[in-house]
Amino acid sequence: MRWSLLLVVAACTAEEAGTKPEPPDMRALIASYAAPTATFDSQGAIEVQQLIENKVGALLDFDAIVDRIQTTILALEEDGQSFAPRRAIVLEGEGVARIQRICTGFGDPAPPIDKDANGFLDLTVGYSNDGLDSVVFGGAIDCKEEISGKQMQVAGDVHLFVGEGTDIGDLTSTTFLFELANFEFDVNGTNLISGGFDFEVCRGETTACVPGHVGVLLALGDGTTLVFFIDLTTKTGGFRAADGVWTCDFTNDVCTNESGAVATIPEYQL
Amino acid sequence: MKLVAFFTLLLAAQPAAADERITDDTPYKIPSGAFRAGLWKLQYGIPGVPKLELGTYTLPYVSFAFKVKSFNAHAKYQFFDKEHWTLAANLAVAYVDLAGLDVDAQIGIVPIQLLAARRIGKRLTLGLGVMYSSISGEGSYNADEATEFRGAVAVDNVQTWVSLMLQLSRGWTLYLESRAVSSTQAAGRADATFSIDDRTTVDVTATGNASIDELRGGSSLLAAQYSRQRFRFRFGIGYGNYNIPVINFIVPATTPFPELDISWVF
Repeated sequence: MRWSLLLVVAACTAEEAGTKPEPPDMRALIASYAAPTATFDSQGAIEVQQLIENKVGALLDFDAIVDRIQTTILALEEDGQSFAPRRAIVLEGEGVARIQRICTGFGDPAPPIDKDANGFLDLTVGYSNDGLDSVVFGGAIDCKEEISGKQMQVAGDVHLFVGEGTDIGDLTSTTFLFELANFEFDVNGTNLISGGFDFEVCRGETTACVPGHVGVLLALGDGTTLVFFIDLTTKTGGFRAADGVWTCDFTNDVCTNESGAVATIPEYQL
Repeated sequence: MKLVAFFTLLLAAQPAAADERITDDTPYKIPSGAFRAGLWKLQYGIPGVPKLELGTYTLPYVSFAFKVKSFNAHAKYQFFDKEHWTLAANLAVAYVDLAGLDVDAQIGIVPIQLLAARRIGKRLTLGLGVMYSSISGEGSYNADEATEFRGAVAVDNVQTWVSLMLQLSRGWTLYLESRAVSSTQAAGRADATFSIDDRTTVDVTATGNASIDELRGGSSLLAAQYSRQRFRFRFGIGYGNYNIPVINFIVPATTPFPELDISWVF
C-alpha cells in the first residue's frame, strides 16, 4: 500500500513539475499605460476633469492599501535587520509563493487577530530563476483595515504588474501597475471604488512614468487615452500623452510640454 | 595469512562447477532450486518456475541497526535461452523509511533491466544490458513551530553496459565491463509553509525539472571470477563513476573502485 502511494506520488510529481497557475493577462493594460494615444490639449483636460478628481480622490485613501499590499508581498524578502530573525525564504528554481496576510480590523487598539472577522489579503507570486513572474495576482477578501483613523474595507481581485524578471529585493524600487477587478473600496462607510480600477505607482527608471508619482489611465470620448500622473503628497504632476509629457502647474492651471507649448486646464480639485 | 589459508582450503575442497557463468548483470541465473548466499546477496532459483530467480541485497538490512527500515527485492526472468542467445528481464524494488530517526521521509527505488548475452564461440560471451532506474522520495520536516517543509522528488536515469566474459580455464572467467549513465533527469515538488508573523503566512511550492549533468558518467571494470561447484569468488578493479548497487545511481567523482564478492550456491 505504501509502495502504491509512493509510486503515485512520483507520477504526480513528474506531471506537476513545471506547472504554475496562470496569471491574468495584463498585456493590453500595460501597453495602454506605456503608450497613451491621445494628443493633449485644453479640451481633453476639461473632458477628463471629473475622472481625475474621482480617481485621485480614491487614490489618496487607497495609497494606504497599496502599502499594505506591498508589505504583504515583501513577506517573501528575508529581513536580516528585524529584531527577531526570520527564516529566509529562498525562491530558487521554478515555483509559486502564496502569501496571506490577515487584516487588522477596525479599532484602536486593533482587535484580536481574526481571519474570519477581519478578512485577509491573498496574493500569489510565481517565480523562476529569472526572477519574479511579471504579474502578482490574488485579492482582498473582506479585508478591514483602520489606517490613520480611517476605517477602510476592501474586497475584490488584485492583479499587479511588477515588471519582467524583477528580483524580490528590487520590488520597492519597481513600478507597480495595479488592476483591480470586481472591486469594492469603502472608507468610513463611503464607497470610493466599485468595479474596475487601475493605476500605476511609479518608481525606478525602467518605465515611462515619472518616479514618485501615481498614474491613472483616462479614456476620452473618442476612444484615445491619456495618463494623468500626480505626486499625492506635493500635488504636482501632469499628463503623459501621445505627444509627450506635459508638466502641470495646478495652482495656475496650465500645463507645459517638453517643447515649451502651453495648454490651459480647469481647476482640478485634487 | 589465515584468510589466504581459508580460501585455499575452500578452493581445494570443492569439485569443478557445472555452471560457472557469471550471473550478476547478465541474463544468466542460478539453477532452479538453488540458493545463493554471499557477501551482498541472497538469491533463490524458483523450482516451479525454472526461468525465475528471486533475490535480495543483504547489506541494506544493516540499516535496521540504525533504526532505518529498508527492504529490497529483485526478480530476474530468463525469457529466451537458445543456441547463441540468452535474454532476461530483471525488476527490482527497494524502500527506505527514515521514520525511526524521527525523520518523516520515505524513498523508493525501482530499477528495470533488460539483459542479453551472445555466445561467440565456446569461451567468449558478449553481454549487453540496459537499465532504467527510478528513485522517488517524499518527506516533511518541521524546522520550528513557524516553518514546515514538505517535498517529493523523482529522479530517474538510464544506464547501458557492454561486457565480455572470457572463460580462461575451468573455474576461471575473466569479466570486462564498460558502463555508461546516459541520462539523469530529476523532477521535484517541494512545499514549505512559513509563518512570518502572527498575521502573515507564506506557502511556497517549488516545482521543476532538471537534467543532472553530475549524475552522468561511466566506468570500466576488469574482474575475474573463480568458480567451484558451490563456491564463487569474484574480484577485480574498476575505474570511473562507481555505480551504487540497489539505488543504481553513480558516484559523481571519478575514482578507482574495488570489486569483491564471495558466494556459495547450494
